[in-house]
Amino acid sequence: MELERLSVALRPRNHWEAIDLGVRLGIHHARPLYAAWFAVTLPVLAVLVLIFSLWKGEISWVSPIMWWLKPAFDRVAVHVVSHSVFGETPSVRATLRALPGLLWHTRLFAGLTWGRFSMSRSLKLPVDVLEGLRGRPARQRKSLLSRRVSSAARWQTLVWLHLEVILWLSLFGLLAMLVPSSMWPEQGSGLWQRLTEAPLWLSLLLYLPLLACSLLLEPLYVAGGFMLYIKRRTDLEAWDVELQLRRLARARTAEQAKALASSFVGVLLCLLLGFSLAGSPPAHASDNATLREQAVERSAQEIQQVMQDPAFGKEEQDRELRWRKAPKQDKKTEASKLPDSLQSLLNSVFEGMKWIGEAFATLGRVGGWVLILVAVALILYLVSRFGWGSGRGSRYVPPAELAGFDIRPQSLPDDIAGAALHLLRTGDTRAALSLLFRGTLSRLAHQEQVPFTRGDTEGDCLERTRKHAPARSAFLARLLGCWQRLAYAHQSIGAHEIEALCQEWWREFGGGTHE
Amino acid sequence: MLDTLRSVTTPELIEVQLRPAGLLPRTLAWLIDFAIRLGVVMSVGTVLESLGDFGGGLLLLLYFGLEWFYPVLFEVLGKGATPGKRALNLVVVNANGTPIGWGASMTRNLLRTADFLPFAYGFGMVTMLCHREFRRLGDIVADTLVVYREKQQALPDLAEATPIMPTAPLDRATQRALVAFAERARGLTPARQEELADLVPHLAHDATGPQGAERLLGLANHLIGRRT
Repeated sequence: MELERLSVALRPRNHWEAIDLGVRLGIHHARPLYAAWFAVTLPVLAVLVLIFSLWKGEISWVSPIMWWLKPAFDRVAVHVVSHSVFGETPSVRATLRALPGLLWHTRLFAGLTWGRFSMSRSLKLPVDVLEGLRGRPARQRKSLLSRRVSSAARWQTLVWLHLEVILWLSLFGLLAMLVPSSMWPEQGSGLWQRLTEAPLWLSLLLYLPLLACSLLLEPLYVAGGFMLYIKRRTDLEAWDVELQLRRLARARTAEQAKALASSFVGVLLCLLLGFSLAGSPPAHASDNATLREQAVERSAQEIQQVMQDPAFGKEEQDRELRWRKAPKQDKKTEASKLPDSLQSLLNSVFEGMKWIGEAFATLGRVGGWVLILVAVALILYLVSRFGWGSGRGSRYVPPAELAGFDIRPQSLPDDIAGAALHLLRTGDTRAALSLLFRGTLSRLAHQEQVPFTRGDTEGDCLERTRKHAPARSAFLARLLGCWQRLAYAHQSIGAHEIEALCQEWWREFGGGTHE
Repeated sequence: MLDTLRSVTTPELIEVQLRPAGLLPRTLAWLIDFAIRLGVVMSVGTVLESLGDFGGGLLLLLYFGLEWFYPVLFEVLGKGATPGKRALNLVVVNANGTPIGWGASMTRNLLRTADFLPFAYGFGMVTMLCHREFRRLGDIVADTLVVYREKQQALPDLAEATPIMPTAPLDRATQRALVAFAERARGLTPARQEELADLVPHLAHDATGPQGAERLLGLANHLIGRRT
């Protein structure tokens, strides 16, 4: 067995984690695992269904038989899983070829008879299939392997059994929901009769999901048991430590090879070192061996001394409190013997409780209605206060500031283009262009209702204008181009260009006098 | 390498490994919680029965509260674990390993309804089996994880041996391997110890058999700070 080819990580893990890893492994290798699994199980299932539907006309016996045969199928699953773990996933054909060996030499008879009810069969299966032991050694091996993890193995069997049933119920529930109620057979007869005398389609509907669930989950169960087995062997034989040590040794040899290749001197040194080392250890070893022998000789005496310590072979008495059983029975008979006074008292207490309960119920009912009324009133108030859907679908209110400009109409002169021309003549090109741009945005927002929002950049403004007021977008694009050249690129814009823009502004937005 | 771990890196670049818990322990934890809820409803129910319809109403309220808020309250206020999860040593955490809060816990428990479909947690089971971190639908949506609780680890119980000082500095992998060997040595047969020691003759100084194992143990004892 080459541990270095293992495809699962070895580390100390608890048994639940081992089972989880088994499930992960099963799902990871789902394709080869289920291919081999169904290649074996489905033909058997088909034969059984054929026999029972021809012979009896119903198939309720198929699922118990398939259930009983599970250990035989499990051997296939454990074969695939164990090979996949070492990175050599067998093909379906190879598995089928190995099938006779898997069924013949693996104590299948025991597995199908008394071993069928073993709760830890998933853990013991790998011993039967992979280790090939028989008789006494096999029994010893199994008891050793299941010593710490048998409770986990039992729980896993129990839980998977229930999960199968639960998944079946789930699947059957889904299918049953889809069957029209008129198709269901008559009510009335006993459950067993209804199950066995059901028409074929109903038994198919009932048992095929059960078969599907048990066949689908079983390989995962086997994989879980197999990983428990691996975990136990890892614990017992320190596989993870072995892997670490092997890696160290390999790294060491690689280093040595490097050193050898690098220089001849290195080789010489190594040889010298080897000689010197080879010279010394035997002496060490013999020293240690004699020491050990002496210790072994002394041990009998030491054991005698230790055993004389009063800590061994002393009797201790433990006392603990326990309920007595006899008086309890007396009390019971007494209680049943004292009926009259106590019984009437109890009755009156119960009557009182009932009365209190009814009073509280009335209170609660009234309180509930009051709560509902209050809630309705609150909703009505809120609706009347804030309006139905106010803020949505109402008039659009443009922001006060856009792209760093104040675009409120009151902050602007009436004749924007005129004011801009005036500024241009006083020589302030920048102020003129900025006023023109600001005015344009303001008009677009307030007259054309282009839905600008507060955070829009100049580019966003252009986009929105293209969408909502396409007629103005060409002008805005030209204006924006000028503004960007002036403000960001620090180029000088010719006065005639701005004058042309002002003229166009009047044409676009009206107002002003044509000069 | 196939493993069930989830690695999370903290902002300080420390790698933490979470150990997600699979379907089986979580099923058992759910069963315990279910039994507790059933017990509470039944015991309180017998008392409330004497109150007539009012008692019935209270019982329904109690049932509602238990059904929807039992897991949430325990997960948020009880350090991430309902009693069932505590019994199985499980904890609910966010996917990055931090403690779960109200929002995530509400989400994952409200989505139990989706996991319950079509009946008896069918979808939850299938998703947990197929998901590589064993999450059900609620966990996927709330980005949470059920992990095994990290136990308080006692100091490693190393097999005692006369400490030996290494003749050359040992790198970290070697140190780790030696200490792991010494930690596990008590559970191994002497023959297996010797077999393992024979794998690394350069560390055992070419001593074989019991002396080799003894030497590895000595080195490990030196590494953890024992001195003669």
